[in-house]
Amino acid sequence: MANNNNLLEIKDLKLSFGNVRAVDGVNLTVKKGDLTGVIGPNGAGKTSLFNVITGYYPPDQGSIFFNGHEIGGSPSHKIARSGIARSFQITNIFPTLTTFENVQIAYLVIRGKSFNTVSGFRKLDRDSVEEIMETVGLKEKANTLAGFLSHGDQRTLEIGITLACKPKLLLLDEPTSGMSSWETNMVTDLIEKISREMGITIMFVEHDMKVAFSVARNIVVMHQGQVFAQGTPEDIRSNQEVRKIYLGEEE
Amino acid sequence: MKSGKIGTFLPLLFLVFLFLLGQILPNYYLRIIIEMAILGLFAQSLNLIMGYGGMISFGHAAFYGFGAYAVAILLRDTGMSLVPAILTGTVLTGVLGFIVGAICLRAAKLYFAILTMAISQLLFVLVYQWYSFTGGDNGIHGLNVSPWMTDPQNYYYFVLAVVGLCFFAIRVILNSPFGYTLRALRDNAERTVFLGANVWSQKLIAFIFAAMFAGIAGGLYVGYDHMAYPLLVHWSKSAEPILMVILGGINSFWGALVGAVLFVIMEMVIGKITTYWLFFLGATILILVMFFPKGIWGYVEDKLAPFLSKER
Repeated sequence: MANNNNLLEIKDLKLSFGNVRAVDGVNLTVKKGDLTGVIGPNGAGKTSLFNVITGYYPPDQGSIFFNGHEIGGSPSHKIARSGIARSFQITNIFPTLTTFENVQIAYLVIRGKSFNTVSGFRKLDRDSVEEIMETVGLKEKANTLAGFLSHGDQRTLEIGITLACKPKLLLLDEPTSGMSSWETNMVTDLIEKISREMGITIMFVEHDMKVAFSVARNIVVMHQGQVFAQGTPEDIRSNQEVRKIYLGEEE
Repeated sequence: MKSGKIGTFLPLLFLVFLFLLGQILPNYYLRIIIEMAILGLFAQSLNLIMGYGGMISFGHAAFYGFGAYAVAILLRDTGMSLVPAILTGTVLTGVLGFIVGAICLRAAKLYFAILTMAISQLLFVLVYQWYSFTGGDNGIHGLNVSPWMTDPQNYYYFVLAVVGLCFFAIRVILNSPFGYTLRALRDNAERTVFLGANVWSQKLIAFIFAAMFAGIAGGLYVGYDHMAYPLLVHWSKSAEPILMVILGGINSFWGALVGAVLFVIMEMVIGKITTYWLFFLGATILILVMFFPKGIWGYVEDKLAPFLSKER
């Protein structure tokens, strides 16, 4: 809209499942180049927010502007083509394709080549795909069937798939879930690298506050379907109200 | 890629072998191979959506039978010769595939399967009842096919060429970005949506391809048997390619053909001894599912994997 620096502008967004208000009036702005961590207790609406942004559910109310265009209510595949790539909380890959093919199919589909019935798939855009494999560090496992990868590698592959989608905005839903601390470090390094070197705007949901604070430059705290607080990690850390939400949960 | 070359070389060698067989074998055996090839194409057309696309259709005979009837009616009423009749029939079957696919693909999984079966049975009833046009339960007999095509050896080469071309075309489709998108849909349709794929149209186009190749197989059958009858559209005919694909190996390209060959052999050998040969087919499939879930060819392929092409 008016401000060209804003990549994503969400206004009064609402989504309910029956009586449950999963997203309850979210207002949120994401600037180009931001690296935003979304935190909040279980059921705060983090994943639901991602689901509405990516068109998995149409919003009940409110608007979502991406790059100046309203995308609220558009079908998921169109939102994906407009430049929002996402990963999932639960590993979501193509298990019978190889690691390389997983990234390659993403690369080709997003570029509208999924209806090409005559070219040999294997020879297409190998260099670009190899570059992504290199970035995410899965080059050695290129020919392994994705279903046989370790959990950590599968989660990394997810990020590789999203990178192949030429994203302007990357939504990563708990990219480190179920990972060892060593794997978590690898992934957070990767996220920082993508943000810094590729200049891609990233929003990620993170359960572990420590991890979120160490990576993100901007933190959004969600609580009961709303944005409870937003600011730099330092602001949030010293915010008494935020502490209360988390401490209240620990009982 | 060295292994890839062997993978394309072997099918060619196989074609040469079949060509030579046409010179040696008596007509009786040529007719059997013709039948295997036609059913192999029918099975492969289903494998395209079932094995690679994860869409299990219980009504695929609709397209096989429709292709057969289209060719039979064109031969009877228009004086067209076989080749243009098959071409026309293929286009018409494609149109039917579009309509049926557009309806059935609104549903997924089991509901999709049941819908395809329901529509194919509708078509069966139509064919069975419409005496003036389809010949009703008698079907259409005594069709005029050119004398050249009537000679079993000539027809053998004709079928070999057409089925060979179709297999080549299906292979190209399966190894294209479209084919890999189909695999991705089978693995995880939800994920492909977020890669920007329009799942419905992607599946619909695959469905139309499958319908057209089944239609070609049906047309070839009319050229072979010179008749069309309602059983070609019946749901029991829809079960045949499913059984062939499972027999040979789902997820395997050559499995569909192997399944069709075994199916015809079993029908001949066991069918001679008892009319309950389907009982033995059922038992075989039970054993396969329990001990060789990848099917017979799938099992062989696994053993040969180091020597063959990596293309799946």
